Amino acid sequence: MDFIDRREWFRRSAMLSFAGTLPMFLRSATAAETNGEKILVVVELAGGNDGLNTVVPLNDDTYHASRKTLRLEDRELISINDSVAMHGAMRGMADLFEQNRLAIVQGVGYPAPSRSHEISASVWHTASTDTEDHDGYGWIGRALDKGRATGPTSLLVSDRETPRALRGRRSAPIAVDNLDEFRAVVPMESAAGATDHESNVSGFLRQAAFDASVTAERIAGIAKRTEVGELGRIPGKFGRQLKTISDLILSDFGPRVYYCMHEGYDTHADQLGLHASLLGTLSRSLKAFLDDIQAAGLADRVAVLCFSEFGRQVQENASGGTDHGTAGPVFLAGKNVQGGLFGKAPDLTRLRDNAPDYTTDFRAVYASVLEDWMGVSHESIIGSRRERLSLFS
Amino acid sequence: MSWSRWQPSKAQPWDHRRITHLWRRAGFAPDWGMIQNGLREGFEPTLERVLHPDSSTVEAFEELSQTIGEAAVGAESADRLRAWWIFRMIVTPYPLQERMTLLWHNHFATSNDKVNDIAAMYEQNQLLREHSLGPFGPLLHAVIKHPAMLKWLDAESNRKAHPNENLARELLELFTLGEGHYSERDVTEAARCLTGWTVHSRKFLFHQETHDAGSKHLLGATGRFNGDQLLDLLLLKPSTAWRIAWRLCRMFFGENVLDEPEIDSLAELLIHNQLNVGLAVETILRSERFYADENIGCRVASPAEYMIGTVRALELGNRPPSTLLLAERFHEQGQDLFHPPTVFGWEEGRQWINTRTILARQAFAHDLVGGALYQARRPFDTALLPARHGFETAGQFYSRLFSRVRPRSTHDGASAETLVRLICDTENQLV
Repeated sequence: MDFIDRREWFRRSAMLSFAGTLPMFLRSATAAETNGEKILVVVELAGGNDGLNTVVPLNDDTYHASRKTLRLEDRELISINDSVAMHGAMRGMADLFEQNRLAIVQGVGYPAPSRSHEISASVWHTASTDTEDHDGYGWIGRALDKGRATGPTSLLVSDRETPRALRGRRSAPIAVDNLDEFRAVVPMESAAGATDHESNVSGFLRQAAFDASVTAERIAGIAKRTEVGELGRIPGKFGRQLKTISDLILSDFGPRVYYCMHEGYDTHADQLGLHASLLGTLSRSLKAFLDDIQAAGLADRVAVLCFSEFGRQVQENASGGTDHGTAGPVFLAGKNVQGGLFGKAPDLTRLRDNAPDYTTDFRAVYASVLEDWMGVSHESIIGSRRERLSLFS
Repeated sequence: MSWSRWQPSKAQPWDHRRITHLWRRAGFAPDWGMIQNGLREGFEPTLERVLHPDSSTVEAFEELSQTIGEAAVGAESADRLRAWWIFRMIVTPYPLQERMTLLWHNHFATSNDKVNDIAAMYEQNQLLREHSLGPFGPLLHAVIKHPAMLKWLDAESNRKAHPNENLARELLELFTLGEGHYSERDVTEAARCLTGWTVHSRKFLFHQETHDAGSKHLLGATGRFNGDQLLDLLLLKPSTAWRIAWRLCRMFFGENVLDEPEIDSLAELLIHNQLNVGLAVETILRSERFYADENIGCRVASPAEYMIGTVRALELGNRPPSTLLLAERFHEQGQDLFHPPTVFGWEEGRQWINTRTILARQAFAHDLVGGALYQARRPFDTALLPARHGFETAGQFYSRLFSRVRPRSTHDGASAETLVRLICDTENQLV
């Protein structure tokens, strides 16, 4: 027996009176500042997603000829229109697409693409193709630098190191591995004496401690909720991380950007089953996540951006896998997303080193996210004016 | 004159409260013996202990520290590097020096996240410590020209043909003058002075070919300045002195205790004394303002002050909790050593506090007392210290230890729950 049982202690604390003061869920950013702010959730498909087997061309001879073992037959696909289909494992995302909650941008990339994970990821993270800029701040960090200076601005749910995208000059992400970090172990008595917390430091601390215990209780309650169960039932790390993000958003925790990674897309060998399973998890989790958010009445505030550092080569390799390529599809999902298919499918008849040219510059996607969702001028973040897509309704 | 000397008086006695105040602000929370010593010896000898601890004790400590530090560097382990500094903070006979090192780590905020070189971070930390209470000039030169900083702020991509203003901007805005005391043109010109600074074989190297040797015009001066001359120019600016004075006042004073003229006057003192930081610190620690009632217990403790203070107050220096586990608690509470969040460092004060960090502070108290901060679980024996120091009840002892005010009456015996509460209590979250 622990000398003090955490749960028991917390249960006892729940009986204490919270009368009198209203909790402020964020100490350093006021509720008024965060209230109603748009939230961006970024999902990085780490390793280089095979875009060609994710958004698949129909009746394409090159595809057919290049993908002997990996080619997906019509019955394994969910068609979007006459020429394009989604991988059959992506039922959840296909549903989102039909409900107008998913935008698919085809052939997204950049000029003179690098096929190094490290360099290409840095291009996406910093929104710059100049490697001299790759030690600098990330595109999201720079965007958040323009916003409110207080409170947590971005939150990474991961056990990995901080992606460069989140690093700003002023704004820094906090990283959370799991919700245990939000568990209260010491009960608070009350916020008495916390009334003049603006001027009085000890009042401020008392109020903060009180708020923390209320927030912890809320998070604990939300994490345990049973009415929306699908997200909680998805096995594996990625589903768990999206669940954590959902719990934190529902608790009104505060950050404007959440970031997580779905790992395993570097499929050099035996790709078929592995990739289907990855896309299945991704798709099911995203759908369940957005449904969770919608059920909580927060659908208007949340959008998900899903990208990978590069696509893969058209010709499969001898190990039943694919090697590093260039452009690939980007997804945007959410109630306020303008659903549909954007950009042109990459031209498989004109390949360079076995990979197609991009058809949409990734900065055209960022420009829309920055302007239409985060409310920041894209020019100041990306450094140049871009034709931007209209990815939000 | 606002920095006039303080003398104990009937209205402002040298007592338990002021002894605790001095140690908490200029070191870490004192243990019972240190408080008793302070009462017995009086103000001057106690201040002397803060400023100039016994040198043979310091030497022995440094020897041990070096062994641990070099092992961490040899293992190229960021975790062990953090653990090394935490070990230092817990065990050091010279706590003021560690606090000043923390202050400079925040001033010259450099993160291993980008530097990615344990040896360089260790060296930088030692530089900060070595110069922590000396004149600011040598500190500035040493830190700016050290590979950790050059890598952190992209000095190598700042070449004549390809200027990169990163180092120049932070040098002007954060390390010396402060915002509002330079123009964008000054940043560009400063970047030109700094061209040619690179790292070779892990050492600073001046590269003549990439240096822009042309004439520069900045901050009212014109000349073919190089990087060193730029630093010297910055050291002569009154706003640099002001920024150091401001930094020191943030450490030694609570919110809204000082007025700007008082910082001005400390800056004056620095200007007339070659920016001697040690002298400024001593001036502060002798001043009326420092011991004034409104300056006592009104600063939010940083995670370091809170945790290290608690560990030291509980006399755990001989059998400290796992420094590796403590390093994780620093991270959870928002002060990941050697990994400040941005070049601005930690904002400190109330910014330490949010839902997550409050819960982490509580978890620390709970786990320290429960024993979970030891690799092999070792609950804290709450009866030990009260008995050692002749207290009848543990509650009485611990509330006296962790509180500057006369405690509410506590009838508790050796209750772990009471101790956890006292550690979490507002009184112990304030320094």
